[in-house]
Amino acid sequence: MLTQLPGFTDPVHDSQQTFRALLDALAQPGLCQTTVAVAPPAGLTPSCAAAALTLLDLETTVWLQPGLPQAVSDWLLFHTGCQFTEAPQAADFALIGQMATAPPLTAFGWGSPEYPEASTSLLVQLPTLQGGRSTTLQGPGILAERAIALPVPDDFWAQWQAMTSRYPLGVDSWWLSGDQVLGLPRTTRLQTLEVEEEMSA
Amino acid sequence: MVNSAASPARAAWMATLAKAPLALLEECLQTLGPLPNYQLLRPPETGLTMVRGRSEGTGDPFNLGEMTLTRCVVQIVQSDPPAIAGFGYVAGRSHRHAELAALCDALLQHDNWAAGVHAQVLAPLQAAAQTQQAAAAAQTEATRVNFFTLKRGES
Repeated sequence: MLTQLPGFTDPVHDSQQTFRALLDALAQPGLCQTTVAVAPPAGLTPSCAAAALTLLDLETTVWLQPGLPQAVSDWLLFHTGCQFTEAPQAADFALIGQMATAPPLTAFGWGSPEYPEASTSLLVQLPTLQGGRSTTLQGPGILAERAIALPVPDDFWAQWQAMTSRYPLGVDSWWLSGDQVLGLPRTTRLQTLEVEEEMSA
Repeated sequence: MVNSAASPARAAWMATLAKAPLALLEECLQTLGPLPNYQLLRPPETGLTMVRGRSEGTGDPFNLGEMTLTRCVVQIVQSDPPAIAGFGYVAGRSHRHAELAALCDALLQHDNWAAGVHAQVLAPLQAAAQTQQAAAAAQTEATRVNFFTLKRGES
């Protein structure tokens, strides 16, 4: 069905500003950036809608988490013309609405050693970017270390840890809530688990 | 977008609107009086499209070349949903033309407006197109050269 909602009010400048925010989010992992707010269809946060309009086009393949309303795919199809896939492994972008029921990180494309960039980028929507268990990040873009508290399922950080050990393979992710975006690229490593192991030893 | 087999009338009026001169289209729309409020679902945007042809109309399709195209989608929100969406695809770079073509397409699907737009916009545009086509045909006819092949009687 044809969507009833418009996209960016000023397509050129809105998408440039959002692209800049997404770029900064990956350049400074763990710091919140502000995107342009778009009136989103039901099921998308404003920042996720803006990111989707900015990143998707006719040549990108998108995996939508089952359970996202039909309005989301109608809206994306009308405004970006992107292709949809059922296989998360084959997608350029994966749109996740509910982190609790999302497939594990290994279900997405991690790229190949020759083409690590041919991986899936995750757009994960969260109700809030605060309030989870505190996690300390390290890696490029972080001077010493940076603490974040994303509300994610308990086993997520173990999966992330396992993924970063396979660098340069892996996925990059954006975490979206309201008009905020937080980036977590595959270069960002964790400290929490190691510290806990030391404490228990 | 519009399946010409499924909805030949709409395909025909979209073609008429797209080929109409912009000045005439503006003039005709002004005779309609105050238009309903509409919003741009897709603001006018200019791009390229590949034009494909078939040799003699029956051969395999081939890429003829790219042309500049401007498209626009407007939406008229009614009191009772669904809202009406009108599409405009015009050759060239005129954003205004694409917007007006889309608006007319939406109005022609609107129960209260269809008759008025048919009479005051579509009919004059079709008449103008026919006049122009007749003038061009007459001009071509005046310079027509007929080639005759004479039988040479060699056999």
